Amino acid sequence: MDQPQSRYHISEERMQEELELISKSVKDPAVFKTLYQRYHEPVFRFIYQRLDDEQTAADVTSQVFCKALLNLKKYTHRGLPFSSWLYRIAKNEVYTLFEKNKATRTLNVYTESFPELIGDMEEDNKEELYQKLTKVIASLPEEELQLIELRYFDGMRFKEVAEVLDITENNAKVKTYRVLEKMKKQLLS
Amino acid sequence: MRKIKVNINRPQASPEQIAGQQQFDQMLSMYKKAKYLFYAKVAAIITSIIAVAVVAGYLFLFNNQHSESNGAVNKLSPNDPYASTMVESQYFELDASKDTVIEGEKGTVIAIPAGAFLDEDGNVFKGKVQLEVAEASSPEELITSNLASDARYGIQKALFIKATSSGKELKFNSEKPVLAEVSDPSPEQPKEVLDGERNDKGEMTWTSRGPVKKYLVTIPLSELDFLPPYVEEIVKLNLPYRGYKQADKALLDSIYYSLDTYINANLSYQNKSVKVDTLPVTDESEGYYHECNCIRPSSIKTIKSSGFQNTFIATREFEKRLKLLFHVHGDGQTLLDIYLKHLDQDLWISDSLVAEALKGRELEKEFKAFAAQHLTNVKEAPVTAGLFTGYYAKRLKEIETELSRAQEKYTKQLLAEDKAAQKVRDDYSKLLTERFEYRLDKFGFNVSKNGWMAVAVILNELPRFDMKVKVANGNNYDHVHAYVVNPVVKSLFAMTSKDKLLFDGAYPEDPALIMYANQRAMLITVAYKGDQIYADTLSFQQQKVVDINVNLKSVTAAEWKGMLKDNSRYSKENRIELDLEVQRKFYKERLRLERLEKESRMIYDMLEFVCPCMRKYEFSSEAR
Repeated sequence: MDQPQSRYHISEERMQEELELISKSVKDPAVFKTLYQRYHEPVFRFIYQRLDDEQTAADVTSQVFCKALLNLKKYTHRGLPFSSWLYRIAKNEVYTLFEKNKATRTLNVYTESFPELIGDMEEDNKEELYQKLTKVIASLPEEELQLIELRYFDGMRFKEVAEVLDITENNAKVKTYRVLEKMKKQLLS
Repeated sequence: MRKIKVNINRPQASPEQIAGQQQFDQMLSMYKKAKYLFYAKVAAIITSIIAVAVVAGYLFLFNNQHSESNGAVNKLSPNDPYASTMVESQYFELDASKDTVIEGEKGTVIAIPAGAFLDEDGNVFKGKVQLEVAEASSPEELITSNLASDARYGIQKALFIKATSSGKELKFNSEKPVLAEVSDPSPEQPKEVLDGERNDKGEMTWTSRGPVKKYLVTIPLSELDFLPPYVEEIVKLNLPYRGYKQADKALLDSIYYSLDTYINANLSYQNKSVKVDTLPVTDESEGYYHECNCIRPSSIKTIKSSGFQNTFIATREFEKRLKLLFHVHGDGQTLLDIYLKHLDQDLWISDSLVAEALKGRELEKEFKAFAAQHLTNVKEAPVTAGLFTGYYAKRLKEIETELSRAQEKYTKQLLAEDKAAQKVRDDYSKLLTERFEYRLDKFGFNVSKNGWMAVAVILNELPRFDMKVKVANGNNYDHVHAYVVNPVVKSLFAMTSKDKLLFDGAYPEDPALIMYANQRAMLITVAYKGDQIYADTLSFQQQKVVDINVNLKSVTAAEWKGMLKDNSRYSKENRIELDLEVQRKFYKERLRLERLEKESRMIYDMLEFVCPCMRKYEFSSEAR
């Protein structure tokens, strides 16, 4: 499987610039505004992807940046964009909502991502196939669903998926491939 | 059950919409508020609380250290300024000669074994004991009781316990330790147990006893999930399975354990052949390994035996480790054995050994993290667990034998079913031959006299014709049959079909439909769906091409019997009713084979996860 060009990918220079901003933000939170403005939209989209209510998504986004700012001292650079760390916080915040039953777990699927998900399966009735695939995805256990969401609906690289889920990149790959295998079997059954 | 809402192609929020949600200043004020609260909390702890006697989720022991050094033990000092705000005591009465467990109002559980107290002469006390217990667990209680006033420690919880009998103080017997268990709000942080002394000003001086011993807590083995990944999912995909409509625990265990013999048989061949070093060893991703030693189902069944109930096997902590071990390629069993060989030692020791064994491989990090948790063992383990290596080996052998016998029994059953099915086929083959010979005989050809080669020549003399019967919606039925009944010679001919839609073939033992030119005959078609019968009869005339379309109609058993009235008087080998008895057996056999094929596929799917290092081609060619 080819690595998709991630929209989360940033250049080395940009990453260095971010590190400086992070360092300055620890001393002066107002500096954090640049990072906030840069990542507000993708973090919001990431959260809204898993929720059904726009206002809740906006509130959670604020909490994510607030928590990030509070914990900025603990941030360690691991060769990944700052956004990966934000997504990890976002993921935890969203799941806390689910655990407390304060939001409905929502799966937003986009059929344009399906060909990449299932490869070139021969099927005349694409609509039927996509409906079946949606059902299969929705029935996945949460851990597996997260992998598919991050990789195919959020369009992340495995390295980023691993960072968000706090697992190794290899682990993310193996797990994702197993889920795909399983999904294909379910589709063909 | 998880509730999930699914949206397909929900419109994306526009960048403008999202930008409208940007409120950096609001977020910043949220941050400042949170930061302020944090500092306020820290300041409160620094200025008003002093030290810390901590404990949680842990068990700790009471001893005599305090009472020996200081004489009488009291919650308050004689002129304690905090007397009015000190946490209140709770009082319990117990029999010192019996094991007793008491629970404080704030959740502290105190386990008192028989003989836990000594009288003033150091003898084991056996009478009634009055136990005074005071629990301080909230910051407010710690402050108002002035229990957290030692700046060296950050006290989270404090517990006071005093035993008396008729007003006389008793000492703790170090040989029968009293255990206290309290909940832990921050299990990831290391804890210490402190002994406290209180002076006349109501100030505490705490002395550390060292890190808290965090015992693991066992839970019933039956409640633990020791299944490899995806076993449950795969079984669910294959339901119903042998009459089971739900994948309950018993079914899942039974299917998983049944894989043991497949794995053992396959790996004994695979590992043997690899050791000879004649097979190429290639990249891991292709599925080839020098040696495959995946976790055996028999091993899992063994450790679920009740004998392991009081070891760290029966803990959620071990369950987590096992779940990861199932993902280790190649030597999962070797790593599991590390835990099984060290049941008498702390869990972190096994964690470290496993992390070392995984050095440079996937999951090393996870097991290092486990080791860093420094988890100990279950309370009973040091006394008994050393005996388990021998017990495990013995029990494993018993279980391997048990599973192997169960598999042998199942194989025997399958062979018996195969044999019975073969007998039906053989008997039918004879019947068809008799039917063909009967028909030839009626047409004046003596097979026994002329032989089969001659028959072929003879048949050439008869008018040749093509016959096709198309059954509308034939594939909607369980099984469909088309018969040509020749009323002139009272013979029967069974047509065959590959798809239940088009009937244009014949059985090899009764290969040719013989008819005189322009002769009339009956076509009787019958189909079954469950117990319901669908049938149709029609008359046709022999000609060069006979093409018949059949539309089956639902009939009652009596109607069907009526349709067969004439045919039922034919000789045995020419009766449709008797032929259908065999066809029903064939149908059942087909269902059996389909079920076996489905089960075989399920096992194959499962083995990919249960024993991922097993070479697929070995299994697919031999066991499937």
